[in-house]
Amino acid sequence: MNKSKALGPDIQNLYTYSELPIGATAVGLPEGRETGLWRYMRPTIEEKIPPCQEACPAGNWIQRFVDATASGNLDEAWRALKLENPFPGVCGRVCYHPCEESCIRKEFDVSTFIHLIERSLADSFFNERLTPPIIRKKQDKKTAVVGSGPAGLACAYFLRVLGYEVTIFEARNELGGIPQTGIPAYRLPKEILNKEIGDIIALGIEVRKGCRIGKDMDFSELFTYDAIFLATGAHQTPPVNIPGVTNEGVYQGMDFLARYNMESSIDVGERVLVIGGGNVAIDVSRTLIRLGIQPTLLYRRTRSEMPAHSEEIDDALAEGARFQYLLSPFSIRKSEKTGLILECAKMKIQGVDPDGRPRAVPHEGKRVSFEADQVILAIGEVPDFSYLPKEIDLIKDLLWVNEWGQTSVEKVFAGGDMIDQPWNISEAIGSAKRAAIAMDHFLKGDDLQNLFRQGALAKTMREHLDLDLSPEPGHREVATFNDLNLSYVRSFSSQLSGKLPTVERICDFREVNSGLDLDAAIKEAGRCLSCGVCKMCGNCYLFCPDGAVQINPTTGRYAINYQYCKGCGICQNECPVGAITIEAEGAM
Amino acid sequence: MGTHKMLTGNYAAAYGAKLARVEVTPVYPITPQTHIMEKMAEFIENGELDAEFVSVESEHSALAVAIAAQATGARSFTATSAQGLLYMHENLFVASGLRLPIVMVLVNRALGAPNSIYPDLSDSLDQRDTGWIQVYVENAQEAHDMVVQAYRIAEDKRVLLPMAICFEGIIISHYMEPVEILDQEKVDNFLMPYLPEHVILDPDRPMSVGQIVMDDSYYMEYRYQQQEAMDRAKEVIQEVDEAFGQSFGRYYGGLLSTEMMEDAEVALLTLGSLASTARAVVNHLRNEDGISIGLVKLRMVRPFPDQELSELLSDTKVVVVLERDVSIGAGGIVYTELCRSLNGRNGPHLINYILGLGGRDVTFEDIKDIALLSCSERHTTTIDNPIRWYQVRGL
Repeated sequence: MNKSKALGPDIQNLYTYSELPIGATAVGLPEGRETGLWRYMRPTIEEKIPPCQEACPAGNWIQRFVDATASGNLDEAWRALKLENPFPGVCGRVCYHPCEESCIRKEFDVSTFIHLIERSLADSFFNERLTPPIIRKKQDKKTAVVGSGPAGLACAYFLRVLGYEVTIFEARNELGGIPQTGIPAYRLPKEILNKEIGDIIALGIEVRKGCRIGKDMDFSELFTYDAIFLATGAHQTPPVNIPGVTNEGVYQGMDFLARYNMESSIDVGERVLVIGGGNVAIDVSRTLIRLGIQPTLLYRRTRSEMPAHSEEIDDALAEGARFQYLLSPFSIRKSEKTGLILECAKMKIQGVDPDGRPRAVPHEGKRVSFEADQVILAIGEVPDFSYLPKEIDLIKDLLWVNEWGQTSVEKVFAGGDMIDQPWNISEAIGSAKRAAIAMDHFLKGDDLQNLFRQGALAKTMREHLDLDLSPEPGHREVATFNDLNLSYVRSFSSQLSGKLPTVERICDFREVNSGLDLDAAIKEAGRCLSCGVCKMCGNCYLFCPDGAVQINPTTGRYAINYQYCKGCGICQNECPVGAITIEAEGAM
Repeated sequence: MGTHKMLTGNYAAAYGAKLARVEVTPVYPITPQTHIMEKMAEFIENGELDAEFVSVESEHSALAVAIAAQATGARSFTATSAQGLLYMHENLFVASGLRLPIVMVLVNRALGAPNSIYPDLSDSLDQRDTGWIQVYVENAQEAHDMVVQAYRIAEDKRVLLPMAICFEGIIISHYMEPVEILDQEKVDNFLMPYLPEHVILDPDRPMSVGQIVMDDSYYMEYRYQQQEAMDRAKEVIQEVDEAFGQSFGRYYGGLLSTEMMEDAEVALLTLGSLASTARAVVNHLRNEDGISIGLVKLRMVRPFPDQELSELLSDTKVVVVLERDVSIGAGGIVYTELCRSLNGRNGPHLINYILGLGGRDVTFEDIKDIALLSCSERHTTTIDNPIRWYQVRGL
């Protein structure tokens, strides 16, 4: 459109009366109408990070899979979920869902039950063979993964998705690590775990079971691979300074669980003492209950200091476990008559430990003794580094890695419970993903140090593979409650998932927590507020008085036409998800 | 031949809009207009009318939507009353200034405060300066017919102005009368689709409408264009009335209609439903008492039939303006308009009766009393107190 030929009145008085267009029209868009010139506030479509995604150690694309679920697009939900996490069925059950702790909906009514949506999706796709969301074309590089726990399997999965050949080395004869050996079936049914492991292996991953590095194969042989990921976890019992721990009838918690979980049988007497306050102690206690034994759990601090998850402690108590607090094992003696005698020191809380937890100190040398057939010590495990070459540095009792998971040996990366991070499945998956992305750059010859400094090292697969179409991903703030316009939200909460009645669940290893059926999960997903992420609701488009919000034909997303935006801020005010910010023009 | 139905004025108007095949109807509810909106929604819902019903949050938005729709070339229809009309006020100027032939039904209702849902023509007469054509009708049939006529008048290339069809709330809007609903096929022949050439918003062909006119460049010229269009509307209104009569058999007289005005010494001039009562009075006084009296039913207030009235009333001795409205501090609005119309001529005495405000009943007897009193004044040289509030209680 040629502006100079535009019909219509202008100050040049070009028209005679008879030429004046009816309705004071002008063809084209003359400059006098560029109302953007009047603007002194500038709205920007600037998506934010939903706090759930910020909180997820595994880097799940939560908003995307929940939103897709809510709209009934389950295939897309499944792809978004699987892109970032090969273990949705496992995580939906055993991850302690920090996402829900940070869910903004909590401040409105009740958090969205993200873990139940994740679990429901996994369950509904249980009978389908996984098609990965994307598989990059074959890369001419070979990688090795040592250990097949969540970290090892996840890293193998991500490397495979990125096109690399992967070989997993596993010391045991079964894949799966702690979820396989340590998590009882009432929390994680074996078929769920093995289905997800099977889907990973089916991508074309070579598996060498029963191959313990350092025993069945020398570590140096791994160096024939182009990159190596170590994830051998923490399975070794630390030195325990209690006289009598070597007595028959004294077990280590993880060993006990592994023996039961792998062999489905174990001999125990009537009187079993469990020592410890972490998740392993609770898992041991609840396993014992299912074997018909009422265990007594002894812990050196009090309930509120127990590191175990609160819900699991409640479950254990409901199922009949007895807890005794402020007791620390002192010695274990063998007795001809009564089996074992465990002598404990009575403790009291006094002061604080360096890690900030209340400190337990001996209470005036008081002692108390218990008779027992078995004593199970669940007081922590440490990684085994004996197989590592000395070039791989340790720091304190853990493996040293840099910010992107690389050890002191260039081609060796590591993750999971070997490194300094919280020991749980989602942290393990997150560390594996971080390392897999770094390994991808490493194998392409990129300068990782430089990428890191530029902030160009992605933390998620969606960023790494450039699948997140949001405007300006990667430089976003985390959404807050005040960013949202909740006038558009109706308060409602879904039917909660239930638990098996206590009397039923202590008889066998049936799963205790029930999930949501798919319809309920879709409804629950509808509660997601999509914090900071545009859902294309169209409010900005509809409310803009100047028609200055338009759809960008390239991205299909909303964009603001600053030629006409007057900066009134209505779009920002009416955006339900807080994806629009406004600030004074020129303040950038 | 159309079908006959018992209809309220509101429904009759809605049927008219349906027959005109309107394409967009943004309407906001307000008594006594709401039935129109409801009927339009029903037509669209049950598939009788292929149109977009736009729910809006105010009358201001209703007209804004109608303006936008009409600017894209869609035939728009809306309706309102009283306070709702006042809320549209600024957009009335936009619609006429953009030369968009929107048709709107104005169901007259008294303006608050104090609140009333009964009629007073002041609400629409107040808006006579906004550049809209205004027609006042006296019954449901005329409302029905005029909605159809209005599109043809407004959309005529010589006119291109929005048009309002005004009738009294409750009295016409709510009471049922037998109405002939026009035949759709005949309406389609009478009324061509709206195919504008002046304002067509189309993303493929960007156009600015209602351009800013800086300094003193063209503002006056655009206003004069509107004046010319309003002047041309007079002949179009007459033509359309003629064409309508030929197609459907009913002639309304265009700008105004008369009853027994030949050699009448006294003329009653009124508008809306009062015309029906006044017509009965005129017929009675002529036929029973031989009084030389006639009726002028004013239909168009804009364009105001200045020329026509001054010719018609040149030999009349007394003109009595009966009206259900008032401009506080001046008199009846139609009366003041008529004074302007006859300015500078040695015309008739003008007497103004303000009556029926807020829906107060105006009976045959009331008008007959006024007519007889006026006849007695036809030989006086001057009229005392020409503006009279009829039967204000307790005075």
